[in-house]
Amino acid sequence: MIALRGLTKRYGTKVAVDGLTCDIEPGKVTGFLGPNGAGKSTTMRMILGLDRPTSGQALVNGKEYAHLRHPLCEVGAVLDAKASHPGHSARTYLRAMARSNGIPTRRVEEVLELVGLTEVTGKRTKSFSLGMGQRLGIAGALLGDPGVLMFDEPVNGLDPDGVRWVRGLMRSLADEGRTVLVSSHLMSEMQETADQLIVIGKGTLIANAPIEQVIAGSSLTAVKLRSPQADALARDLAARGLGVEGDGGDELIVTGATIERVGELAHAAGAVLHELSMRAASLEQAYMELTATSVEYATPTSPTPDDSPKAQV
Amino acid sequence: MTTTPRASGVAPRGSGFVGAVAAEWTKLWGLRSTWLCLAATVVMAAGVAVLGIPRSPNGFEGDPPILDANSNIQAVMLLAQFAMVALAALPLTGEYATGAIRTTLTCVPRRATMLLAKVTVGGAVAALTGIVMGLLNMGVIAALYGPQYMEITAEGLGRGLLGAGFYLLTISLFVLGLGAILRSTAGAITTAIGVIVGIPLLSQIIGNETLTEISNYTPTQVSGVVLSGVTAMPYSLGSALLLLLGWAIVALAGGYAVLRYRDA
Repeated sequence: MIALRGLTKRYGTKVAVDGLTCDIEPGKVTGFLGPNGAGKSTTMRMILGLDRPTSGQALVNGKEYAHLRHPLCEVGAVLDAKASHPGHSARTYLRAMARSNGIPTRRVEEVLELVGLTEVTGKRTKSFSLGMGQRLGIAGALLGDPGVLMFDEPVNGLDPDGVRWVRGLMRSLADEGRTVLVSSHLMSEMQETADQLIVIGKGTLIANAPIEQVIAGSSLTAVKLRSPQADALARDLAARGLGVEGDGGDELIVTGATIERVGELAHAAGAVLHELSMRAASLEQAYMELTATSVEYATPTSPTPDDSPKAQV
Repeated sequence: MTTTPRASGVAPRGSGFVGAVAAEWTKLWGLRSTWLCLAATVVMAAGVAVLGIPRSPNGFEGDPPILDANSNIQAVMLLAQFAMVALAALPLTGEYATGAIRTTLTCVPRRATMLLAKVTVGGAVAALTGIVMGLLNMGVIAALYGPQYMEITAEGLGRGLLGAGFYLLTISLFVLGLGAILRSTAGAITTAIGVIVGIPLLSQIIGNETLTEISNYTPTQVSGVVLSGVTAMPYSLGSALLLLLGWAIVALAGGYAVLRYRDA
């Protein structure tokens, strides 16, 4: 497991990561989300001891990365597709890694087979495609059979088959009881694979919750109802502090309460209901809403009005 | 949800410094540039050794001069060392250029261990190469000039073999340290060439006293005392050896400080 304790990184006066405190737990896939420049990669680099935190700590299995005796057997990381020297073959790259941590070199052949690179083990990695580079990086991460895995944008450059493979791999790694931290900009990808979401913006923690909860918490997740007494019911619900939007007709969109609660309130008000249903936000909408105020490189003004969720908030 | 953290199924044996050295060794010989640099070193060393032979013994009137085992070694080193300068820089600066340094540091997160492993592997290869260059020089003298005209003394062997190995060792570590400071292959190599050739050359052209004084302490001038037994310098052989070591240690200390305090 990974524990961040007040993790902070400043570059001069600019704060990249600001007092991040959270635990990333084993047995699930934790999605690490945030706009560009939010501090995701910096956080991962600090966990690996590549960058020094200005203050605070990043602990892996209770220790700072630099104090792990066999780091590759505790943490595997894929930071980008360029982890190997282009002049080295896939085998040399993995052998050097294995030797540095006293890992038996037969593991090299095992992980090469696992990621499907057996045919190109002797080829220099400069000839590798982006997808092959990703697979090689994943092979390196799995070399020490670690209990903690971190992937920074793992599906970049992979073909649809590769994407499905990575998705399945992360799922099975988590199911084996490992800690899996995945950063991605692809919300649809997260919706498919993540159990837990950590959302950061401008270096601070915005949300750390199970994915269903993040979606449920969105203002775009609402209860839709239709009633002949819509106007009276709208006043009644609004008086109880719920968010109510009407379309002028018989339809109301109610936020801030569960579907059960809305049904009970309608009953108490004596309103006839023709429809009562959930309208769930997509993860993308929930995420956009969460990070709307913390987009680092936001377009200053939209040239044309658009109706994306970002523009609404 | 609480799940018991999963332990690794791989049983690692050893690691730390020994593992780091094994990894550096594997990486060094897995690169084509290593073989190219060594081949270039040998070709240049042999070439200069051949050119350095005075004349064919038959061309002398009377007795030809006797050559020491270490004669020409300084000239042999002068050119060939530059291939070794590249070889010394690349294992670190090449990793910065390609991003492979992140893998290296996640495998061996302790900066001192990582740097010492590179010092050990690079230093061993450089020292051995220096000795091989000395042997090559002797071989050329014996083959082309005639073994009977080559004098083998303990001092000549010491300077020509051990001196050459020591000189190349310190130059390589100096460049490795520069690479750790500058994190750039071009930067490390040009700085090294500036110190090894630039300053002595400039002082010869300008003839400024201060510059000459500074130049006397550059590795090239110091190496004259070690390799050829030059006596015109204001220091002894022992001090010369320490001076060469000093260049390496200062650069490495600077490199370690940068590694320690600057993000990878």
